[in-house]
Amino acid sequence: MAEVEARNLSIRYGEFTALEKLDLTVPHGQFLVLLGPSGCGKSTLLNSIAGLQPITSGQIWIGGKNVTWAEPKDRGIAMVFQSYALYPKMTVRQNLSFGLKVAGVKAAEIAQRVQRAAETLQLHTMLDRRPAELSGGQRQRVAIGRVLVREAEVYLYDEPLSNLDAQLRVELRREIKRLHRHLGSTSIYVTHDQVEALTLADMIAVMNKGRIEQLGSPEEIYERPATRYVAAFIGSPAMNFIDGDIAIEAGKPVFKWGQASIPLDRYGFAAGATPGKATLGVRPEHIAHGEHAGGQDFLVETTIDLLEPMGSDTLVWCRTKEGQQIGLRVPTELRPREGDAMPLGISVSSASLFDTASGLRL
Amino acid sequence: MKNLSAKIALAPTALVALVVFVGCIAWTVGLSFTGSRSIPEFSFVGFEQYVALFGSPRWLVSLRNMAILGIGFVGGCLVLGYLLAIFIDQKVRAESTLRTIFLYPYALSYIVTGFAWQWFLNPQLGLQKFMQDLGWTDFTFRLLIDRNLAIYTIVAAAIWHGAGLVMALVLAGLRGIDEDIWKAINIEGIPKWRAYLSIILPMLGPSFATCILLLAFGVIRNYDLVVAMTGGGPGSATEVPAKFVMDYLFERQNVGLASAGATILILTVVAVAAPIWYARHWQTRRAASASKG
Amino acid sequence: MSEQVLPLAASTAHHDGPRPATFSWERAGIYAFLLVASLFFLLPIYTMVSTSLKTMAEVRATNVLMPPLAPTIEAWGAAWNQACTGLDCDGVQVGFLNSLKIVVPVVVLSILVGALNGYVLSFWRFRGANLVFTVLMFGAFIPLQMVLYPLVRLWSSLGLYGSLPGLIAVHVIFGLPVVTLMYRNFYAGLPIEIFKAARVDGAGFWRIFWSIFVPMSAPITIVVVIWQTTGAWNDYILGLTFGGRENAPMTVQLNNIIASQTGERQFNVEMAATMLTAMVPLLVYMVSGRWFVRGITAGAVKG
Ligand SMILES: Nc1ncnc2c1ncn2[C@@H]1O[C@H](COP(=O)(O)OP(=O)(O)OP(=O)(O)O)[C@@H](O)[C@H]1O
Ligand SMILES: [Mg+2]
Repeated sequence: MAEVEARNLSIRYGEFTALEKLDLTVPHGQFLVLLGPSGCGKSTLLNSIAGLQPITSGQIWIGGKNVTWAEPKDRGIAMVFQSYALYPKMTVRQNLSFGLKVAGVKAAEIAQRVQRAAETLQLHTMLDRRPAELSGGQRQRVAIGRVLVREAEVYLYDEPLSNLDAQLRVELRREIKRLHRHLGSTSIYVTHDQVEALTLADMIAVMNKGRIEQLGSPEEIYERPATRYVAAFIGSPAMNFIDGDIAIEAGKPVFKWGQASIPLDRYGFAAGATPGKATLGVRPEHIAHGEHAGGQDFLVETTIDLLEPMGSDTLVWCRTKEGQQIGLRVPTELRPREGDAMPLGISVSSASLFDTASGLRL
Repeated sequence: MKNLSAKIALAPTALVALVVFVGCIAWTVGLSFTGSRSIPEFSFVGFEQYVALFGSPRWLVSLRNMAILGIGFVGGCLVLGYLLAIFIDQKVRAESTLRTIFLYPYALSYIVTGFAWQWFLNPQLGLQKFMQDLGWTDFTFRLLIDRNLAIYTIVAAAIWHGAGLVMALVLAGLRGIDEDIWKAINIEGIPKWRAYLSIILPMLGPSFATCILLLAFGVIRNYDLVVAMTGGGPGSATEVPAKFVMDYLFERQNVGLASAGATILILTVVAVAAPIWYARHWQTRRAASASKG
Repeated sequence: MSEQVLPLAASTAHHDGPRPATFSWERAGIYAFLLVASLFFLLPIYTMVSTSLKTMAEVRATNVLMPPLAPTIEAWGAAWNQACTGLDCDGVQVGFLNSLKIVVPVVVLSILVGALNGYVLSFWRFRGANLVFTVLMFGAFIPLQMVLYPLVRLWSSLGLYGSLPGLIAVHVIFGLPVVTLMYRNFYAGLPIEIFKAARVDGAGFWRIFWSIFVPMSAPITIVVVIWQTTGAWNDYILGLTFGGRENAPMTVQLNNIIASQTGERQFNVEMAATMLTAMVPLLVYMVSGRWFVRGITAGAVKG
């Protein structure tokens, strides 16, 4: 059993605080993705779990043991890096076996483990080549192989696919997922690519400026973002945000936006509605148009401002009379044209409401 | 004419390169096949000068000393320089002071180095006297005047002079190594000494090749250090080929013999440089073809 | 779960924050090694300086490692203007001035020629340019002894042998390969678009060189100045062969002073003279710091 836990973890680089009193628990066998923009502290968190990064205060627990002061090699972890970090002058076989050899594992055992890893990752044909003679995807496969032979309890990945081209990334992504299913060990995976996060994760931790903004399943993160920040970070094209006020009209909460007032009775408030400044967030894929526009909670008249064709879908950027921009996805075969009128229907049940000041979900 | 200005600008260099680096070498090689004494003569004597050269005990001693220097000095500098670089790379305090201390001898001339060490090891008043003053009265440290050991004092002085160069070049190489490699090493629990030996050392190949080239040419050219430290003595125990050539050119007036010696020197240069160049060339080709395939 | 594991787990449970620093033999070993190595590198210069600050009586009475009890700069004065080379007793100042007269023109000329060569070789590719470069690089590797004698003959017939201009010329020539390489690599590292844009604007060969590349060359020129100053100052063999009596640089004079001592050797004066000879390159080294290392790296011919 290898549950991974960070307790009240803070890390400072001199004056700069990279992580602030962070708590995180990854249950055994879970695939956790740390997602966030560059510089938010993902690598710092991963490295501190690995023991590669001195921590300022707090504790790291792995498998029920406090490993805060333990050496990386004694933590039962293995790690894959963005730059592969293969030993360049060793063959693939040596790369896989060197760590085991140093650790004093018997030759027969090493050969067996290398064999197994090579089988899992289809490395047979390249065992006697050097990293320089491999393609990027093959190199990362080898790096994963080097991690496999360690038979660790916890696997750590720091943006392993970032240096690969789009197609290879998709391929290896699937392979990593399959591997995780097969091994059943705990994995923590750092990325700033939301597609990777959504496809791989059992749990996603969205990070921002050294804090975890939200920890939840991919569905939760997507459908019920806990903060405006998370809402904006997940989803492409990004969620539409409309600033307005919440008011109580005839005992019912409404969202006041210019002249319009949108009834909120179908919105699932976390804790009752209170009047005040609020932001309504609507995902482009949840906006109804054409004949469906009328049947929603609210209808807004817009004209098409700009089109971005993307193959099967077209991104349509509309503008209201007041100048609010709203984006949505439309099947390309509907042939929208710039300048056309475009009535849009918004349903509050699939929308999100945030307190404008705090950014928290209402 | 196209690029006329460019051609004119390069012309003096081209002329100098041709006359000095090609013409003069050809001239020297030519002289080695003549019986020239104090002035050039054009009497062809075939390989006689080479036969005389390799019959000369002094030349043979010189060659032996060059070999000792080559192994002792190059090896010593590489080992000491790599160790210094490794130890400095352990996030130590006062790093820049240490680097300054290890590299400053390289800024000094061989003449200065030679005199410094000659005095340091002076048989009457140097290190020996220090040890005797400490109460170790029968300590003798007659390195500089012992025929068999004097060459090793030159090796020591030369290492003192050159180890900092290796330290500087290798440290630059160490600093260029990807942080992630060290993280991987750490996680696999590979001991540091093992990592420096089996993983990092091979990665520093190009740095070491550069060091070996520079140091080896230092050995072949070595003249001033010997002049300052021992003058070739005691007897001819510390003679080196470069000094042999100089002596026969300007003091002993045997230009033919000296030219033969010089020709052997340049063959040595080629023998040292060719394999390293070849290895590099081969490696770049290999890497290039791999990234294509 | 065995019972033995429990106390262990319990004992680590309070671990929090950074691991406390404890005495480590590894760290101690690292510093011990660095200390011993520093002593090895510092002892020779320490003995030189301390000897030069003693009187001969003290030199004889104590030993090389003893610090001077009553430091005096007498020996330095004597070395500067009284030490004898044969019959001339004017000290190393003569050599110092000679070295200055050699080094300054050598550095200036090397920069001019080297920068121009580097510029041509980086941007004005024409047939034969590569051949010139290859021959030059070959020149970086040949031992001086290989060309010394023919060059002496050539210089005599040109009336340059034994003259200051002749000596300066050989210095520039033998410095040319490395200096050219430094400038070439520097220019080759600049974006070629700079050159193309200037060509498109209609600037010619010299115009591009003077107005665009010369002003950009400060970093590599500093490196070249350091490299050539120390190189030319530390030279012995060229000064000995081409300088004649008149132009003997400091290294040659130092050797003459020490080699021509008769009677009892004045070790304190010898060491003061040696220190004086080492002074310029040492100063350059101390002042230039990392630039010196960059010079070595740039000069380390990357074939
Ligand atoms: N050694 C260091 N010294 C000072 N600041 C550091 C150091 N390492 C990281 N930081 C800072 O800590 C913050 C978090 O860095 P970290 O590497 O964890 O970011 P990240 O989320 O992994 O970003 P990326 O996606 O770019 O890898 C950054 O703002 C970075 O500038
Ligand atoms: Mg990172």
